[in-house]
Parts: sequence; structure tokens; C-alpha cells
Amino acid sequence: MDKMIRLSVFRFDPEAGDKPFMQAFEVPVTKPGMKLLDALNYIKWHIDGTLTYRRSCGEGVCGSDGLNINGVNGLACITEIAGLKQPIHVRPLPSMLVIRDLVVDMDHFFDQYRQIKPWMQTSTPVPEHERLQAPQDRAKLDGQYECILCGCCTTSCPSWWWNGDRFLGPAALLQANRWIVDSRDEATGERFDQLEDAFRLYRCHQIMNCMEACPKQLNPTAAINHIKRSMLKRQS
Amino acid sequence: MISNRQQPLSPRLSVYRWHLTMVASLAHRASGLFLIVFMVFYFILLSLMTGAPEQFDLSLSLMHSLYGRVLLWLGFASFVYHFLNGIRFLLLDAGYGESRYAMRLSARMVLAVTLLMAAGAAVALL
Amino acid sequence: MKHDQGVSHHGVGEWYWQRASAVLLMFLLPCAFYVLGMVYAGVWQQSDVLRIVQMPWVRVLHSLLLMALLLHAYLGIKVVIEDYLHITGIRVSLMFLITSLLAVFGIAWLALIWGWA
Repeated sequence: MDKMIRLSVFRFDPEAGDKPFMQAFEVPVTKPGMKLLDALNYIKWHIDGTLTYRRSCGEGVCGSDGLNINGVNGLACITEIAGLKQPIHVRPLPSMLVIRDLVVDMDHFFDQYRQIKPWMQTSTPVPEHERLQAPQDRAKLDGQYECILCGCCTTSCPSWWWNGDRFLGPAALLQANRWIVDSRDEATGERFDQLEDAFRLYRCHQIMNCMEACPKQLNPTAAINHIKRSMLKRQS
Repeated sequence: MISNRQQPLSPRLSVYRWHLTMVASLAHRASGLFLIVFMVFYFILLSLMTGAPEQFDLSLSLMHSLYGRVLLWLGFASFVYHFLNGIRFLLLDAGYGESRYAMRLSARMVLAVTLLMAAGAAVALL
Repeated sequence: MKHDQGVSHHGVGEWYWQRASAVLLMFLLPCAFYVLGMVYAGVWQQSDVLRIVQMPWVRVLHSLLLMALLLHAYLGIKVVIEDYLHITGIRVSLMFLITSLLAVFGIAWLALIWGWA
């Protein structure tokens, strides 16, 4: 158990005014099945308290600790050290403004999520009890609703890197599809209208980095393809 | 996104791992662009082939020259790749093979078949 | 942060035509490479090439192939330019230049197919 784990961690301190750099750390194996987050915690608690990163639930539900790990985006809390090549390169999510160390500015990401109006929109009167959904309609939400908005997919997408100001990115588009396929939502037409744009939707070129990055094993590329097909169906 | 001096942009292309599906997408783009260049070469060849008899012979010697054979090989490889991956993209657009497993497998198959056919063409042409 | 500029209400058309032309090319482009292969290998003489290229229905298909090719190339270049070039002036002028070149190229090729020259 005394084997050391080698890490190379992205550091940036806005107050120092220096350029970002990679800092090497060595961390002992503290427990079997140790996760990357455990190693980062060890650094923060025992080696360098200034290391800054986001974390909360520690079990892949909150989506706070999305990072670029050995070149692929994923959640530190559910990524096992054992499967990683060392030194483990830990960087912030790509193509994001870095606030400090591994913490990035997520405002634009959540703003794009807001743009697709991620809530149920209805025009019919509210029923006495609730809006019901048949089991087979509910099944259509599987693979869509599980998204935890960690940002791993969107920040892995080259189309979003080059045109992130206009292209909504895989996370927002997966959720757009989640509401498009929801049988209870009554704003499907307006949702399509909001996406009929060469940049907002059609920048996706099936690169599929999003699918590879998603820590919840979802498939935003397939969701985007579904939106495109529905859009064609509407026009022809 | 407006970047300022305080906040650097985190590294992206320089650090991201090249997944096979990403290679497949970029290769589709690259092969497509090369095919446009090849189209010009094809036009020259076609106008020679349909011209006077000595122009036809010129087209043959053009094709059999070293540069000609390299161009033909590149054109053939680009065409095979763009053709196969194009079918893959069309099938995905139509909703076939959309599982995570199928997306990876199809990218791998398309790249492998192209490599094999390009190798075969290299033996024949170069 | 800039204000939301709304949707352009365009995108599905270009997406559709890129794929429609791709289906045509899937059937016709292999023929073009077949011709090249036959000539390269010396299987076809010039008389064979001329006989085939001058058949009326081959001329029609050949023209169709050319149209699909130009459309497919135009849309493909447009997507690539939109991805990587972000200055509107450069983008628009470059697209203008490329569209013009493709048009001239297309007319020259049509002239070859139908023997206008």
C-alpha cells in the first residue's frame, strides 16, 4: 500500500499574475479502489492547501469535479487511479476560462443550458392532479434525463471549442432533445424553432468526443442526430 | 467568449486525447478537401483523354509518372475513406448504429478497411 | 456578453442538401474512378472512353454527377470555413471567391461533357 502515485496538476494563480504551469505531486495510495478525487484531496489536505478544485458529493451525482484527466474529460470522484497511466495529467475542463487551478468559469455553459428552456412548457389547463405519462413515453426519457450537467461533454467538443459562443454544445442539446421527446411538453414547435440555426445545432459534425467523455455513459451525439431528423421530418 | 488577462483559456486541442471517432471525423474533412483538389486533376485528365490521340497518350504518361501515381493513390485513398465514412454518417443520420458501441466499432471498421485498401492500392500504383 | 442574436432559421436546408448530394455521389462517383482505373491499366483505349462518354444517357448522368459534386463541395467548404474562420469579412469574401471558382469550373466541365468547345 505504500506505492506512490505520481500526478502532474495544472496550476494557475490569478493573483500571482504568472502563466499557468504543471506541478508534479506524489501521493501515497491511501485505500483500495482509490479515486482521483482522493488523490487531489490528499494533496490539498497534506501537501499544498492552496490547490483549488470543485467537489461536492464525491460519488458522481453532483457533477462538480469534471476535469481533463490524461487528456479525456471525466469526473475525478468516479475515476479510479488504478486505470490511469502515470504521471496522471490533471487539467481543468478544456476551452474554459480558468479562475484558479482546476476551477473554471461555468457561467457561459449554464447560460447555454438556460437557452434551451430546460423546463416543461404547457399551454393546456393544468389538470386536477398531474400531467400523466404512459410508461412507453416515460421510457423515451431514458438516456436523456440522467445528465448531471458536469460539462465534460461540451468542453470535449472541438466544434464547441471553435464556436462555443454560438454552438450550444452537446450538454445543452441533449437536454433540448430531452424536452423535445417529453410527451407532456407542449412547446415542441418553439423548441425546434429555437434550434433551426446553422450554428446553434448544425455545428455538430459527429466527432463523438462527447459520447466518449460522458461519465454517465449518455450519448449526446445520438440525441443531436435525433433533433436533426425531427427537424427534417417537420420540413418535408 | 471574451478572454481577459486575468483568466487564461484552459488547454484544449493540444492536450485532448485523439479518440478514434474524432480521427474519423477529421479524416472525413481532410479527405473531402483533398478530393476537391483531385477533382481538378481529374478534369485535366478527362479533357486530355477526350482530346486528340496524342493528348490521350499524354494523359497516360501523366498518370504513370511518379507525381501522377502519387496523386492517383492519394485520390483513391481519399475517395475510399470519404465514401465509406460518408455511408457511416448517412446511416447515423438515419438513426442506425447509434449506440455507443456501434459508433466506436463503425469508426474502427471504416478506418481499417480504408487502410487495407490504401495499402493494396499502394502496392499496385507505387 | 453580447445580446442574443436569435435564430437564423436556416441550417436544416444545407444539412439536407449535403446528404442528398452525398447519396447521388455514392452511386455516381465510383463510376468516375472506374473509368480512371480502366484507362490507367490500359484496358480501355481512347475509342472506348469516347464511345462511353458520348452516350446520351452517360452525358446526363455525368452532368448530374458534376452538379452533385459541386453542391457537395460547396457545402463542405462552407462548413469548414465557418468552423475555423471567425471574421465575417474574410469568411464572406472567401466563400464568394470559392463559389465563383466552383461555378467557372462547373461550366468548363459541362462544356467538356457536351462538347461545346
